[in-house]
Amino acid sequence: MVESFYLSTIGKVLKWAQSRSLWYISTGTGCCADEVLDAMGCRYDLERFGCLPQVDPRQSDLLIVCGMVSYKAAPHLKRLYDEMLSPKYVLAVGACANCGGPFSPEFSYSVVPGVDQVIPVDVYVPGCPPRPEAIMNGLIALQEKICGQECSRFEIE
Amino acid sequence: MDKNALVSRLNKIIPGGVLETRRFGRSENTSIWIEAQAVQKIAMALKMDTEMKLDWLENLSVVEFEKVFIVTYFLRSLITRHSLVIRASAVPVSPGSEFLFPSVRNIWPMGLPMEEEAEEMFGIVFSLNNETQFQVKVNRLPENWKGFPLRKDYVFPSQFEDITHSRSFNKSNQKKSSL
Ligand code: SF4
Repeated sequence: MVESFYLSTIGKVLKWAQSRSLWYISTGTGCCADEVLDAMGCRYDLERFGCLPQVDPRQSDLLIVCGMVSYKAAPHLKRLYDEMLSPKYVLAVGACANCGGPFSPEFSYSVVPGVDQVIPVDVYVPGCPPRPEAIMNGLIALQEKICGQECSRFEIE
Repeated sequence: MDKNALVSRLNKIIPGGVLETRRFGRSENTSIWIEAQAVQKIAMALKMDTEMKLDWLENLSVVEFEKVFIVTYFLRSLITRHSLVIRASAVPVSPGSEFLFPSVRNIWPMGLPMEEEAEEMFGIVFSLNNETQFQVKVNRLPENWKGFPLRKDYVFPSQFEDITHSRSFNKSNQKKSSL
């Protein structure tokens, strides 16, 4: 059970600080990892959003899942997520991480159809692979979500 | 290189081992179809052959074609630069079951990872002598995996360790977010 309590003004400041310092750990399970590397690089520079790459799950707030996750990798990803300290967020990058993509369950026996079957996902970034702009957009959507503001949303009935 | 001379040399060492000689697909390469039981002897003869010296197993591939499993060995020589393709076929005793096939990993050690992969994907147990027990080692597929995924009659799993192998677009089967 998750216990929580409400902070009014100081809570807003905390959330603002949290959303502007999303240190992340990135799992390069698929080819989308290249695109995340591009976004980290000097041209797109993810660090200006306050994102710092980490190697330790305990020091990171955000887990970026880049690409397909196989059934063999799924328990390790789950363990990585469990080792992160709360509050923690997950960004699923690419069609594979969202729903299986080209490795959808009809065509592949070994790829998990969507990483949200293993760990909870906060923001989905579509594309195969998504451009670095799209990844940055997903990150801004996550920041807005943390701050409690309305973000662009697309729902399928 | 004269392939006919090679085949007659092989026929002398292992009578009845070579079934036929064919062009390999559209390539210039020759492929030799051999008897499955004679694989080890022929492999040894090819490695020791003074003219060919095929000392390198470049690739080992398996294909299922109309319920027959065809094992193809792509051989090459680092000394004489010759290359050769040998093929052998086998039929499982009953559909869906594992079966034994002679291994060449003592002759070309680089065949070991390829044989292990074929073992997991197709359920062909490569054994050094035919008394080996059936037991497929698992190191590429997840543990507790059932079936041989690259066989034609393989049915995709509906569920694997509480992960459903299907995608529905309602939110009921998704894990709840921490937010
Ligand atoms: S979504 Fe496309 S680019 Fe990304 S991991 Fe899947 S196949 Fe690769």
